[in-house]
Amino acid sequence: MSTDYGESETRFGIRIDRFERLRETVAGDYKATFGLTTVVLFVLAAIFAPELAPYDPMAQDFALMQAPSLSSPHPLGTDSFGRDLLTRMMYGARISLGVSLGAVTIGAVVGVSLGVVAGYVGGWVDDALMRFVDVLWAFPWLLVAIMLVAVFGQGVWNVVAAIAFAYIDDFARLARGEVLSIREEEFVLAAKNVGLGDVQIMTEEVLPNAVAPLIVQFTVLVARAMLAESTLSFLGIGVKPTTPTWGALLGQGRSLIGQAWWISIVPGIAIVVTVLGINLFGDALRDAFDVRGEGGSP
Amino acid sequence: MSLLDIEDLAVTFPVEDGPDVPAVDGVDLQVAAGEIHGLVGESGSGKSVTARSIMRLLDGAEVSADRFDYRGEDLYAKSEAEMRRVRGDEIAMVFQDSLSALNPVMTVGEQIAEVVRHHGAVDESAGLLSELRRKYVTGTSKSAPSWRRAVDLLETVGIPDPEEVATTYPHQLSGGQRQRVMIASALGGDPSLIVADEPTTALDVTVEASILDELRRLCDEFDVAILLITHDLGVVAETCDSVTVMYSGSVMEHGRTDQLFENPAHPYTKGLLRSIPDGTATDGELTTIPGSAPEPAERPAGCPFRDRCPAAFDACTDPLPEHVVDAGHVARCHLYTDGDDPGEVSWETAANVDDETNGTVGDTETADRTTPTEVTDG
Repeated sequence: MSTDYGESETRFGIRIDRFERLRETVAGDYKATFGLTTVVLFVLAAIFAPELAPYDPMAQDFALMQAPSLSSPHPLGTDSFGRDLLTRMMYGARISLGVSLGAVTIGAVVGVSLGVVAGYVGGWVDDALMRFVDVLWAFPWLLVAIMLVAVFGQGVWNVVAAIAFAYIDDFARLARGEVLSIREEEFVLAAKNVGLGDVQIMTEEVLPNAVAPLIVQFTVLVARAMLAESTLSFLGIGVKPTTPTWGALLGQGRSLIGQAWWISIVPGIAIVVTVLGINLFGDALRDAFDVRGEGGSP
Repeated sequence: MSLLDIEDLAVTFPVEDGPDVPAVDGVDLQVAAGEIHGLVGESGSGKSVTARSIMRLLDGAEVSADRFDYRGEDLYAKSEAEMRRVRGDEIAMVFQDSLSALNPVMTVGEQIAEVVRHHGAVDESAGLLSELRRKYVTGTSKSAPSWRRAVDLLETVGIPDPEEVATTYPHQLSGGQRQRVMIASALGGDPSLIVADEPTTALDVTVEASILDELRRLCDEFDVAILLITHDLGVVAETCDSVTVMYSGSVMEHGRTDQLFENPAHPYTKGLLRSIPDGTATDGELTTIPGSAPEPAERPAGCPFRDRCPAAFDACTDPLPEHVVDAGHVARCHLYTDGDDPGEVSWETAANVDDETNGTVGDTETADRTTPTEVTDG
C-alpha cells in the first residue's frame, strides 16, 4: 500500500485526542470496523427493540409453533411456544448485553481501584487488599449467585452483582501487577518531584500506562460474562424464565436441537458474533491507548 | 544569603541484615539565588543522594543535618503538604534519562501543561475530575491557557516548531529535544531552584554544549538558581559560577569556579584537574588518580581520600578540618592545619606507587559516626 504525505503526517503529527486516534485506528482496520459495527448494531437493536421488533416478545402464535427459520412471517422462526425468535433475540440483547457489559464494568471499576491502590501503596495496604481479593476469588461465584437469589429473589441486578463479584479479582490482580512495575519508573518519581499527590499520580500518571492490558482483559471478560449469564439462566437462577435472554434462548433450544435447530443456533451465533466484535473493537481501543506501538498492529 | 543552605548533611540507608550504608556524611552545600552551582564527584560519591535529599524523596533513608534551609526555612521541618508545594513550585528537578522520566503515554505538551496547571499559574481547574477528563477523554484544549503556556515554555528552551512538538510523544523526540522538554517542564512551576541530576550525561557533546548554554541562558534570564550535578569538570568550568567537590560522601573543597580551578587546594581536586586530558599526552596513557574510591561501609576514619592521597600523613585520620583558602573558598584538608601552605603536592610520586598499597582500604577502621539530631524522611 502506498503511503502518501497526508498519511505520514497523521502518523507522527497531531494526536492529542484519544477519540481521534481511535477513529483513525478503526477507520484504517477492517477488523476493528467490523467489530465496532457489529457491537453498535446489536446495541441499537437492543435499545430500540420495542420500536423495531415485529411482534410482542410474549405473544404466542399457536398456528406456527417451531416455525422454521427464514420463513415468513417469522424471519428467524418461532420457538416451541410459537413466540417470534427475532423479537425475542432483540429483547434478549437488552439483558445479555446490559448484564455482561454492566457486570464487567462494575467488576473493572472495583477491581482496578483495589489493584491500583494495592500495587501503588504497597506494604500492609497491599497485603490487606489482596487478601480480600483472595477471599473473593476463593468464593464460588455460583454460590454467590444462588445466595443472592435466595435472599433477594430473582432479578437482573442480582445477576449483575454475582457476575461482577466474580471478576473483581481478575482486574485487581492484573492492575496490581502492572502498577507494581510502573510505580518504579522514573516518571513517577518525576511526578512526585513536581508536587503531585498520590491520588493524582495513581489516576493520572500510573493508570494510563496500565490501560492497554486492562482493555484486553475487559473484552475477554465481557465474552465470559455473556456465557455466565447464560449459565445462570440455564440453572434457573438468572432472570425470570419468561424474560428472553440469549443464554436462556440457547438453553431452551438445546432439547429441541434435533427438531428445531434454529432456536439454539440463532442465539449461539449472536453470542459468537458479539464476543468477536467486542474483542476486535477492544484491540483497536488498546492500540489507540498504546501510543508506543505506533503502526505496530498486525 | 544563600537560597539553599545545607550544613553537615548525613544520609544513611539502613540495611536489614548488615551494617547501615552511610551514603553521605558531613556535606555542606550552599547555593546562592540565581547562580549555577556545580556538584562534582565520581560515581558513588553521594552527589545524587545529596540532590535527592533536597526533594525529600529518598525512600527508606535516614536524613539528618545541622541545617537544611531553603529560603531560611527548614525543609525537613515542613509537613508533607507544604513539601508538595515546594516541589515544582520552588524546587524542580531535571533527570538524566529523559526517556524514562517523561510519561510515555502522554504528549509532552500535556505533561508540561499539567505542571503549569498544578502550579496554579493559569486560571484553569486542576481538580481531580477535570484532570481525569483531560487525561482519558479530551486532552488539554489547544486554546487553553495551560497549553499556550506549555508551547511558550517549549519555545523558551529553544525547541523549533513548539506547536508541533507539543503534540508529540516522548519516544518521537531526540534525546536533546527530550532533555529540553524536561527543562521546559521544570520551568512550568516557575521554580527558584532547578536541581539538574547529570542532565547532559546521556547526550553527545554537541547537544550537551547546547543544553548547557540553554541552562546558562535560563539562569541569567529567569534568575533561577541551578544545582548542576555532574562528574565532568569540563562542564563545571564552562557553566558553573561556583562548585562543590565531593568524594566518597564528603565535601572535599568548595568555592567559586575560578578560585577552584586556578588555585585548587585539596589534593583530590588537584588530582582531578590533573586528570583532565589536555591533548598533550603522547604515550597514549590517560592520567588517573591511582586506586579507587572506598565502599561507603569501608570508609576509613578521618579523610576518606587519605589512602589514595600522595600527601597523606598521621593527622589524616582525624576528622576533616575546614581550611579557608580564600573568601568563599574552603578546602577540607589537614595539610593546612598548621597554617602554612604545603606547596605543590607531588602527584608523580603517587602515580608510581603501585596500586596494591595505594588503592586498598584494607583493615582500616571505619569512621565512628556520631548520631546527629534525627530527621527521618518518609
